Amino acid sequence: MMSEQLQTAVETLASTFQSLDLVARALPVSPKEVAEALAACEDKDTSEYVALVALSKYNPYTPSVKVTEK
Amino acid sequence: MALPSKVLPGFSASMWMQTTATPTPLSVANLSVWTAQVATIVGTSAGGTGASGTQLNVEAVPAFGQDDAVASFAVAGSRQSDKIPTQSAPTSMTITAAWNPSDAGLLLIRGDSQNGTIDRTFVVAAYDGTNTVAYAFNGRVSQFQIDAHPGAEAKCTFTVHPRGNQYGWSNT
Repeated sequence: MMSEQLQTAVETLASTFQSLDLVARALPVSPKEVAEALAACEDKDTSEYVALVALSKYNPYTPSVKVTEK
Repeated sequence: MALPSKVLPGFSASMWMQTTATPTPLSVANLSVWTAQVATIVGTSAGGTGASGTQLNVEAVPAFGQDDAVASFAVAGSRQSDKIPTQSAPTSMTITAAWNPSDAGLLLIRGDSQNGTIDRTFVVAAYDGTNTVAYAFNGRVSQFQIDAHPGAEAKCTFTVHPRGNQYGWSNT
């Protein structure tokens, strides 16, 4: 389930006639949520997937790794 | 965006466009979506459904892509100058087709050229009999000329100017 913020961002990107890169850069979203939504997206042939890929480009997410001291 | 996933051996390219005099072009995201979007413009002869599209019977599909534009710099003392790519337009497509006053597609193109502000989605489809790779873009028609020279078959020449940033690849 996407947050309202991500839902709005995806809808904005899916309906825009401007450059996806330009629009995606200006949309504030959580990188972690974008990564999770992208991983959960089963059908890649949708505008939602295209929008999430554009968002992930400018909101990269790397899971933090717990380092244990010896 | 979905990129072409394979090289099509022995394919044929065809050009398609939305029908209706005042079409609603696909959004930029949907230009990269085959199912229920680009597929509706491409006809069954090229792997689509063709529900809202028609084929443009052109002599050849012209080159498409990005034009060149650079800013040149020269620095005193340096052997080589520098060329920096700058903002440039998508390549305009000048197309020649046999003029048929009954061809619905050509009549739409003629209407677009007389209007000048109608955005329409065009698709270049490469089809090998099973798979299709499609390049979809939104564009406006500018030039439209009919050459009815008596010594040859009547032909028409028109130019489609793709809108900036409004393109996408899809495949099936």
